[in-house]
Amino acid sequence: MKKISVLIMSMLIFLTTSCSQSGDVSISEEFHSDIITIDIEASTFDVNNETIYIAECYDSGKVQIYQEDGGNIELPIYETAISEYNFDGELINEYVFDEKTAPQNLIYAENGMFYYTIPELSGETTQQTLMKYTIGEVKAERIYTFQECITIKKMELIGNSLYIVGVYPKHNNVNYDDGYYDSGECLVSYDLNTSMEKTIVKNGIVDFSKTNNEELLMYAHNESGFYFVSYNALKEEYGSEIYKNLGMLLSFCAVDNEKYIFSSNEALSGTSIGSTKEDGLVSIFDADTFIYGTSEVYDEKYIFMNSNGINIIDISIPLKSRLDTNIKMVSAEYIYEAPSAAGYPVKQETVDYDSYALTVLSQDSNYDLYLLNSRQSFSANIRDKGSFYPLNDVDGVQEYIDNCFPFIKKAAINQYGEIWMLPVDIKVNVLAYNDEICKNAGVDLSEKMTVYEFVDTARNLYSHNIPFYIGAEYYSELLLSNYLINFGHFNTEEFRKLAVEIKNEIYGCYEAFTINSCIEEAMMSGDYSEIAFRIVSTDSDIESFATTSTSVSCAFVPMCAKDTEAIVNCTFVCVNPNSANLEQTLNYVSRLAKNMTVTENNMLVDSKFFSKSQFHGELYDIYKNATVRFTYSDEIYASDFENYLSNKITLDEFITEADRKLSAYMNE
Amino acid sequence: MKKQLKWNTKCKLCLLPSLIGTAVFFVIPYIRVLYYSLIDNQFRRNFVGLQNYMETLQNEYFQLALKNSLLLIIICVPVLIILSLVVSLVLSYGIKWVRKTRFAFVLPMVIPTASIVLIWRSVFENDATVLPIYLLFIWKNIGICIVLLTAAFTSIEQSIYEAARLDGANSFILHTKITIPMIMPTVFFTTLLSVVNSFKIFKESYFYYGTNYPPDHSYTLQYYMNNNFLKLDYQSLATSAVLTSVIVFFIVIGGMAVQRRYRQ
Repeated sequence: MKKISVLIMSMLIFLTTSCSQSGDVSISEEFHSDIITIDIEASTFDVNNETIYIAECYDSGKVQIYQEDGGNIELPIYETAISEYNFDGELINEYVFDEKTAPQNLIYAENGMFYYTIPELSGETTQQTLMKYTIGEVKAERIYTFQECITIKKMELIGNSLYIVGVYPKHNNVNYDDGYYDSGECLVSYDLNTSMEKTIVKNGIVDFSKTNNEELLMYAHNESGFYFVSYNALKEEYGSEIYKNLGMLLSFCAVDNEKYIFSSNEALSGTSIGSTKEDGLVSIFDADTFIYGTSEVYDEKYIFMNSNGINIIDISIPLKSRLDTNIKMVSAEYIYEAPSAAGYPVKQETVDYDSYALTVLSQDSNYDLYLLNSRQSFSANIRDKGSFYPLNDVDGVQEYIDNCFPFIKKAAINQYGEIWMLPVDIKVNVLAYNDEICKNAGVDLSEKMTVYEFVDTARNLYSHNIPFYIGAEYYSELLLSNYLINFGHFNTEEFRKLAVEIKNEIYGCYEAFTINSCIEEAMMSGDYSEIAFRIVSTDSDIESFATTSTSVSCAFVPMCAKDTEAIVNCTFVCVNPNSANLEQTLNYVSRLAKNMTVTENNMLVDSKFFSKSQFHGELYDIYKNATVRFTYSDEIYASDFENYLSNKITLDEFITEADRKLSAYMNE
Repeated sequence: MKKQLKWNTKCKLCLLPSLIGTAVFFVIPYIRVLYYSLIDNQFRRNFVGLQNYMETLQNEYFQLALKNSLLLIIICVPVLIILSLVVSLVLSYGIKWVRKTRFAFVLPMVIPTASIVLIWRSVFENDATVLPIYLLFIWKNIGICIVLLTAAFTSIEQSIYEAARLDGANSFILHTKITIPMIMPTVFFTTLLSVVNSFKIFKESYFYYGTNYPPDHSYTLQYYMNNNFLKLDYQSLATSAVLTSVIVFFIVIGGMAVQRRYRQ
């Protein structure tokens, strides 16, 4: 018995302690596809018989003269063209006819006939009219008007019937807790032979698409949530409901009876392939791309419309990807700067911090990637404790890291020369200011200044009613964080001076440093041309500030001392060394690194992005000399500092308490 | 003999599930923790001998945490046991209406700590000492101690007392010669349970101070371990966990030795 017990114990110990250390894995080049773009201002398109039919409506340049009240009125003549293109983007045929309204939904039916819908005004309401154009005719023919339907979202042809999802505003629009927005969509059919209209789904239809076996795959919503259901239009039979929450869709098209391509704000990768039978998703594009409106799949090609025109992309490889093997990326808080899925089935999961720590410490093989940023106090421990898969041998990573700014490269490599993380985003705060406004006010922000000089400047501008925006809380947080990185503790004269400045000046003049009506207006409109300066950190902020004003410059955010470095918040991914899906994860990392190496707007690499304008050049000067610091958690002192600001404790009490906690944090 | 063997085998087979459970959920994790305390980290796994132990023992915050945890045992556990004994005595032999209030002593066990901490904070608003935490520990644990000791008191057969009284024993002799010896095993058990619970005091203190870094006087081993867990420093966590378990082990062994000597 003893022997049996010992044997069982030994086996259990062996099973539980022997971790599966993975061996070498091969990195293979995967999905890459060029997009063919047909540069055309299309209003809609359809795909049939290996041909793309694109409809556009344009001003022909000709005029028609009307006589009214004794005078002649010239009205432009609009024409509609339906162009035939092949999948190489070559024009085959073009049919021009006289129709002044842009087609909304186009269906090509055989025997030289096109069906499409146009919106028409009837009194004060818009109604949708079904048109038929026969090749060779001068005009299109009106064949039916969908009464009470204000918009037709999609139209498909099965047999002799057209199926449309239209908006019938018969009741009040309803917002549901799960994100469903009911604006009165119905699925109706129209029989081309009998001219009969019939309602099929009265409530809850979100989108639908024709499958390759002439069925309809519907995405709808009921009291139990979002679901898929197939509908055999010829037999008028429904399949079983399969519940899946993809949120409200921006675009949707069926690949076959199971797979579909959709674009939704809920999906990490923007536009993805999903399946009614499996849970995973595979993104179509390397970078996050959202597709709005019409899209079609034909012969492993995805055809979609955007501002560039009609685009064709080969999706044969992502279509073959297994959807059930997601690459799971876990983070301890929601990180908006998550990398794109780059054509892989990446799923981002946010868990509470305790679960996250357990996941990392136990090397939970269910997770493949850790998503972190340098502001998280534990992120450096991933590096120091070796809880990462070294990326040195992963194809494209070394090249990417070499292209990154030196301070990012330095942060990405540990003391043993291992690439322990893949940086995917950086944020540095900069002071974006309007040269013209500042010069007129006699203020020069181009030189580095201290917070004290800066506050004086801000007060001066405020007294002259010149709007600017800093954000007292945010700026104070930056000042404290920057101070602590440089000094390491609070018991200094420098800090006492800074704390008083924050309390009496920045918070004391709260109105000046926070939102006022002028700033609110600028934020709403995105036009910052009237704002003297503001602290910006996100890409979109920088872009909006840079593009809406011609005389915008940027400078270091003033800190307590002039010689402090710009601290960058770096978002990065680490590979779980014990990942059960290591090979696919490394393939993804490889793909991601290669994409980021060539992406023009990547702010991590010394790229063309910084030569776009003078503003970008100044940004470059700040970025190239920045540093990534794995900082202290501000939770250690934030609540005490709030107590100090609200006079609950004195400055001395704050310093004692914060330094005590900091000491424990650093030394325990 | 053959039947006896079969019976023994059956008994052992019945024990096997619980043995496996103990092994999987206690023994093996403990062995792994022990192993992790001897390596540099769980990913590289370089054997570093007792280096982690040396570092932990020399760490000023581990020393502080250990001192505070031991102080909690030395000060609070005796107070807790004496208080529980007095209350149990009153509940077992005291006035009848007092007995009816016995359920009140179990309330601290069922009231969520988070809700009581608010009251505790308002009561001890201006108290910057460790007293609130000590009282919170006693208040939280007194219920289970009273339940155990009251059960011990009431389980003494009345016939033993009656026989002693017939032999001419007075109240003092009844309690010193019968009651105390008979409840002593329960007292030892309760003491050991309280000692173990004192190492686990964290939630109460955490809620009370609302931070992972309480004042130095309330910084116990649980804080040290929890903070190292949050920093993903598994080696410090594993080392301090092993050291704590060793301390608890010696306390239990010591307690059992005292109990054995008392019996003799």
